[in-house]
Amino acid sequence: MANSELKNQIRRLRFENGEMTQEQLADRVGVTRQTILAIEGGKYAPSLPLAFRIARVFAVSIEQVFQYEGSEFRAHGSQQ
Amino acid sequence: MNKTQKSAWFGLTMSTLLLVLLVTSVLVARRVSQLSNLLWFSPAFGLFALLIIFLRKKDQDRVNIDERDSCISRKALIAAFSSTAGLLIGACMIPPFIAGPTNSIPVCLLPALLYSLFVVFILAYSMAILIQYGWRDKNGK
Repeated sequence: MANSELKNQIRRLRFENGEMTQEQLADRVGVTRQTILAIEGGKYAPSLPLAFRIARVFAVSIEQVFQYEGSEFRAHGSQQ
Repeated sequence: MNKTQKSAWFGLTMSTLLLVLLVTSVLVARRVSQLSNLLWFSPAFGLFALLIIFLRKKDQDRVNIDERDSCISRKALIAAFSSTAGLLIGACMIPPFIAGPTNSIPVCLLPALLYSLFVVFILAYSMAILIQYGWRDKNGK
């Protein structure tokens, strides 16, 4: 559930959007405040629909909210 | 603390209480050789079930359970089933080794064994939920 490879800009985006509270963001995307807190802290990786809902609230693309910083996955048999 | 955590704390408190009561009752009943006294435990479990139903409040304005809570509950359910299965296997395997294959136990002990399975299930479920949220994460801070 925890994902340290997934970074997010939710905290920054909240403050840039009229200092939106976690509670307000949670209400707008339909989750509890604790879930927003867990996502912000990198303890929980949200589902794709939730990630899109969060991005939509801030009117930005999903890549501007979440950044994947893990190593690239290479399937067996793929060319180097 | 969200609704899932509150339910888990309630379940943990009640199941611990019931487990202590159950073990004490069995020990006392064995000492006074009146195992039929254990039958009072059925109404106690009925009361526990009613408490769960009546204490369940629905807050219509707020989101009570979201995808993270569901994920945590699902994992807790697996942990609870595993614990109960372990106990069930133990309850089936250990008595014949202790008492011998042809020995018998009083019929009044059977409800106590079944109730203990239920209590352990609730206990394991509640503990698994609280561990996943973090014991200290009462306010989500």
